[in-house]
Amino acid sequence: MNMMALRHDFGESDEALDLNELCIQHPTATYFVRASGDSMIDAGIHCDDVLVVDRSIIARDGDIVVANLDHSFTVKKLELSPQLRLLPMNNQDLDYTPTNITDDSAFEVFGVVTYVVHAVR
Amino acid sequence: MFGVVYCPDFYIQCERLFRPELIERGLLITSSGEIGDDPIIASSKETRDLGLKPGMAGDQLMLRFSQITSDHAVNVCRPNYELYADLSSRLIKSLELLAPKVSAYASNEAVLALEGLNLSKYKLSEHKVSESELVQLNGLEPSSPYHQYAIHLKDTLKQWLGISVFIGIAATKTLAKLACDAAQTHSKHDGVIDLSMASERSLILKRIAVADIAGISKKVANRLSQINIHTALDLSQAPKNQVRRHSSMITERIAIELSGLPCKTPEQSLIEASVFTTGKQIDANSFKQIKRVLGAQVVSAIEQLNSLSNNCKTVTIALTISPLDKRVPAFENSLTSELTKPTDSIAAIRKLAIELLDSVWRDGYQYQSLKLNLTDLSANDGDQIGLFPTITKYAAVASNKETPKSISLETRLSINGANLSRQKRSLLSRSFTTRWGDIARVS
Repeated sequence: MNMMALRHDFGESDEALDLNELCIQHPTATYFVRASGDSMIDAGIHCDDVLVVDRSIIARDGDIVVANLDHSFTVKKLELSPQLRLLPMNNQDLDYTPTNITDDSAFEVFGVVTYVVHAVR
Repeated sequence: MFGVVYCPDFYIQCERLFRPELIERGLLITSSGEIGDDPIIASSKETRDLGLKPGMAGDQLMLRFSQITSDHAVNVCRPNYELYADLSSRLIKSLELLAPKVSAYASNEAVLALEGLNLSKYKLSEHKVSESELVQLNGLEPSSPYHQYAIHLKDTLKQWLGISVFIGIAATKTLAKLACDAAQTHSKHDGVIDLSMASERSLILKRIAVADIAGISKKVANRLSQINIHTALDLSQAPKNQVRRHSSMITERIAIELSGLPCKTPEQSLIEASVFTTGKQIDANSFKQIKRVLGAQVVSAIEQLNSLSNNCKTVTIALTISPLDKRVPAFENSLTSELTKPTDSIAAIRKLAIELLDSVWRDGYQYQSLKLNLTDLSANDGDQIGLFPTITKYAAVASNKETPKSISLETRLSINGANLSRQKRSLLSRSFTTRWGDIARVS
């Protein structure tokens, strides 16, 4: 059996698996950013990891989001109730504390983090 | 039904998307990234309010800049076309998911053909508009399903891309463009104006002066005012032959489109060329690209020639250098040449046009526009030597009373003199969406 026949028997698709297909549901609404620091280490986000950010998703309580807080970017866990807060996820370092979002804050969710790309070596 | 989607301050919006520190701060984009000899390519609302307008350069700019007190922060950066191009392509791709048919007119402007759009999702709003709200809206009820669709479109683009747009909806492209312009000027419409209903159309058209209509020059507007046509509404209701007598075929076509009747080709392409003046973004330095533009112009001109059953004898090409190209004074380099015999042959006319372009072309300049002129038109009445008699065309000539003296097409080649190839990479904002090393940091 030659290669062409194999392809024919197993369907037309001869495309290799594509990571984009797995990680990016909405290409026109997806941006990449890079993490700094270790405030989200318990969420599996390490320094220098690439985050896949999907803007087409409406953020829900508990989502990890990239937000625009007082004119700078931050990645944190979003808490909608009982109060709007951004939570760091690092149990080892108690210097990281939640940020309450008040009416005075310039705050906007930039997008929801859907995947983390982490190099292990 | 058509929609026009326009991104205001597109370059500024792109820069701010990944640099939140620039939000609500004054921002200028100049080709050197400094205040000086280079003209301002884009200016944010904050800096425009300080009198720093796009196009300003040199002493005028320095003087104005020196008068600004230090409590107004003004950031300056180089244009990052790589970033703008990616967001522009995301904009068009998003629109393609949201509208039946999309044509990009510029990096920040697109026309949607809405035929075949499923409107069942966008039912008339349940909310009954109160009297006081109606007054606020100048009598416009934000209720048609097209209006709901446009609002959905606007919100979706903001959500997906982080880019704000204005949208105009109407029965013709010219009207939709007008609605989109009006949505920008009249902030109370929340960025969307829908003229799909006749009552709303006249309300908006009444508020627009003829001179403010894209595609109508000041000169034409003056002539129209002599016959008591002052507003877009007047123009849409005026007898069309009167409009034509006092201005031009294009103005007449614009008038027809304003009354809600779409014009058919070949004039359509002409109207689009004049109404959507920014044109597609073309690398104005590339000869190959400009040759392609010329090719398109020839096709369009031949269409018109055929519709008039005319031949032409003389071809003129004019290439204008951008006034923003500081190395030379703005000038137009034009060349005229005659065909060996009057013809409507696309091959012959294209060949001559490209020869002319070849001769006027000089490398390294920033070109602003390309003009193609076909003159010495004569009836295509079979005097040419050919194998086949052109009987059908001859019949058409008999019914064609008016023959224009020439056919003229012009295409803008660059926006604000923006030009990709002269960019150095220093002083640029980072290419947040196209280079891994440049993506934004979040902590």
